[in-house]
Amino acid sequence: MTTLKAVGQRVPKADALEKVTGAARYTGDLKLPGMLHGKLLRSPHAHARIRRLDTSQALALPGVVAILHHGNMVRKVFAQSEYTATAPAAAPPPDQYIFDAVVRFAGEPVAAIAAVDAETAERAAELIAVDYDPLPVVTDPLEALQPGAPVVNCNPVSQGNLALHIPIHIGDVAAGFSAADVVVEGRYRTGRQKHVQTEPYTCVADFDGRGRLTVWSPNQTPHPLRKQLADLFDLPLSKVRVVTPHLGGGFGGRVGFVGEQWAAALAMAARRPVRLEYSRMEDFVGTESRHPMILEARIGARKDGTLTAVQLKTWANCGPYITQSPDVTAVHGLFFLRLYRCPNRWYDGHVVYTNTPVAGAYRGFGAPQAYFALEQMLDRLAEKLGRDPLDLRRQLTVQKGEVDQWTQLPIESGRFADCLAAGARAIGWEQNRGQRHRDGPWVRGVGCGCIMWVSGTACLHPGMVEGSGATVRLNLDGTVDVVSGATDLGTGIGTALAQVAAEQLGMPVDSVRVTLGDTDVTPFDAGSHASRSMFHAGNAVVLAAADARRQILDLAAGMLEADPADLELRGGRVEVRGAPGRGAGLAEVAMQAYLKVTEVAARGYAPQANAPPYAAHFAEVAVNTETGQVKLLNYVAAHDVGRAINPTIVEGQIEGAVFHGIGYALSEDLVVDPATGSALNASFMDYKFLTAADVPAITTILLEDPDPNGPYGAKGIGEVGVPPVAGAIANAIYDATGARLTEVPMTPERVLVAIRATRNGK
Amino acid sequence: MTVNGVARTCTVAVKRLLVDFLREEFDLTGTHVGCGHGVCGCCTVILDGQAVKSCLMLAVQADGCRVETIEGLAREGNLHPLQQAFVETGAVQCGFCTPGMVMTAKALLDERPAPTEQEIRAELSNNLCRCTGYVKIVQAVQLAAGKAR
Repeated sequence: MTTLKAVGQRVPKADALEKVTGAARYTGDLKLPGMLHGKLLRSPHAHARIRRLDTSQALALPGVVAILHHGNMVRKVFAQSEYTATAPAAAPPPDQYIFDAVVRFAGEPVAAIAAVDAETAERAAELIAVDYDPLPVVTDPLEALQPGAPVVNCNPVSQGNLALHIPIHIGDVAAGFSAADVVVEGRYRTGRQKHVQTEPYTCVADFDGRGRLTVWSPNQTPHPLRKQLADLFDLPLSKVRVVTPHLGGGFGGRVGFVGEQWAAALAMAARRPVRLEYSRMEDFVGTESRHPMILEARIGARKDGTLTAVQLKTWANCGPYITQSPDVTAVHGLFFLRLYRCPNRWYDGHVVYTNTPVAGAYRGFGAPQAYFALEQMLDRLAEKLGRDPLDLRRQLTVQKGEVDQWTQLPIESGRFADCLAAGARAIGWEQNRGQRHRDGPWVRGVGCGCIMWVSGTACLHPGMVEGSGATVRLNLDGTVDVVSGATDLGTGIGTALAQVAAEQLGMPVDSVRVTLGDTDVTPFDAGSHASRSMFHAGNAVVLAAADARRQILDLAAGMLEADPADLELRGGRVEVRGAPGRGAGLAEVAMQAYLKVTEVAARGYAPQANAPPYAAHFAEVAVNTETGQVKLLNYVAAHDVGRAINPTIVEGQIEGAVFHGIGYALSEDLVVDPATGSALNASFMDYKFLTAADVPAITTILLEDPDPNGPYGAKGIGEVGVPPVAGAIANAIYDATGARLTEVPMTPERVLVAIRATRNGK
Repeated sequence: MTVNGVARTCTVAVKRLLVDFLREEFDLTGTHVGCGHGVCGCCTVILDGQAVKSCLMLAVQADGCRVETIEGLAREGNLHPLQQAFVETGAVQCGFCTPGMVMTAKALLDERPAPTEQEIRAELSNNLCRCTGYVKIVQAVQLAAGKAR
């Protein structure tokens, strides 16, 4: 087994230097000649018909170049989501317009302005006269399904405000529950988390003299976005270009359209470049959030622990537009049904329209909601059965050697049991579980939450294809250019792709340059989301690099008068095995190609494959039984990663994911007024974003078992660390206090109410 | 005022924010606007030795002051130990919070060269990060502090 030289190394990220010196350019730093400032006028009403919209005064303001609204834009219905997983078959139904005569959430854009500067654009917004006829507002998904509820929106398959029903019925749960010795039931409600990436949304659009639309956007899916723009504006793909400058974060909030459609429309109307920049408040209400959900779940088991039935019903509040909801709501259920072995598993997902901010994709994609419920129910089941919760998980989790209950694929790698053991040791499970160590009003507990994830969405649904292409080219000086349509949202995928190419080609990592994102030059890639880029873009790069390797060895064989099988690549050179000194540098090989009137150029396309990564998380909390405050003392995340191409990057992904999970569990909620539909805390003043002083150091444990389907055995990592967190913390709170939390975030008020309910005998 | 050691004289509208002034007048786009209401710290610069939120200051308030931005940290191509540490520990993911974090950390270490982890976390609570969970950022500050000693 050869030792890997580039893969597995803690290579510093290629873009760290420019970011740490302030040289990195983000979208808001771009300046184009003649660039205008764009601004959206937003509805204050959550539901209203626009009776009159008068732009005459605004247009008369010097410096205003264009104003767009429902009255002067082509009416074309579209679906926000493209190229995402559909499991089961649930293609996103089209249900939104770039502007409509009806507004459906507070903050929905009703007009777009392009002006010479920000101040003029704001003044113009104030001068636009809009008369609204308010309509009845509904904000709760269960109320929205009541007869007589105001109809928020419709699509080709909706029934009232039921935008979509997703049934997944495997086996016979009724029979399963009859056969159960023990049944655990639960009802859960989850809040509205926002991505809150530190870069407020900004994009720049230009429609040039050749009728070509270029959009610079911090978008995770440049190629799918290109198609969305082409479709919306009836342009051929060849007339649309998407470029991704550095992203100041993404986390799923920048998948598909964010605001590019308005920037593009303004650029086309103004015939000048337009920068559209959201304020932080606009970013809170005007970009998608995590779906608030209501879950009703039941799990039945025999005395020996085996599960006989798992059933979940979920109502997902998607706001007024369906966007990614078919996938999120389906995947939410599929993750709930998948982790623990059971022949009878039923899910009924309901996507519900309401007049609240739009929900969409967010790191974890429906699973944080599912695992918050599932991991608590597993603990409750263990308690009823008199079993150690870790032991029960070891028994029930579908593991390596079995068939994945979702994909029906064989599970070819995985160290789940090792994750449980290592994590339990690191948190001090034996010493702390059930001990309730006290210090005044503070009582301590530990809890566990586990997960089985995916590496992208390929193979999750029959007939679905999720593409990733890459090219590799050898330059005349022996350096290599790798090109991929993936995007770096801060993840360091560019560096990791350089590492796998360097490994294939036996060359130093910093002699490999990676180009990402720009649709003019990169092959198609479904985008960086769904924990897919290392696995899929990585596989594409490995294949392309392997082909480049063959070409290099063929050329070198001629130069060195050796058989290609006797050649090896090392340190940027081709050498004859066992004959040191007989070799050629990659630059010489490149020149040889040139003299033969060709070049070393290769392409690769990732096969449709998947592999499930596992993780076991452990939280230690201290709960103040007088105030309900929860302090997170310690957090351990043990992850089955396949192979850590770059351990520093992998740790960073886990730590960052856990951070989102902690906020989701304890403090983050974009609160919407139930009567008016307005967001009440759309700023950092009142949306509690945890600081370095609020979170402990997170311990990550990486365990490797290379998966044959991944590049050098790597599996997906981006989202894995988010979903188990809330369940682990809730289970720790229970261990400390005996109180069960059924709502996230688990605010001090909710914790106190739960503790008191326990004291009063529930 | 001086900006990164260079004396500057400008006429500026009273209502212009310091962060916008630095970014637009001098093309010092390393200082970022993350919220505009003084919480996220992406706009942090050092003013007369103190870390300040430049989105909460008017440019005119910096009259006669010494302003340091992220672009001024490296000397003749040599990174400041904090910058070097951020690169080494993997504390930079998307990088949008990074300049503000580094400036806050620099002001801390300039005043207190050997802070405890708790003191580092307390000071860094002025800056929000969404990518890292702060783990490697705290490690970077500790690494830089350790190397300086």
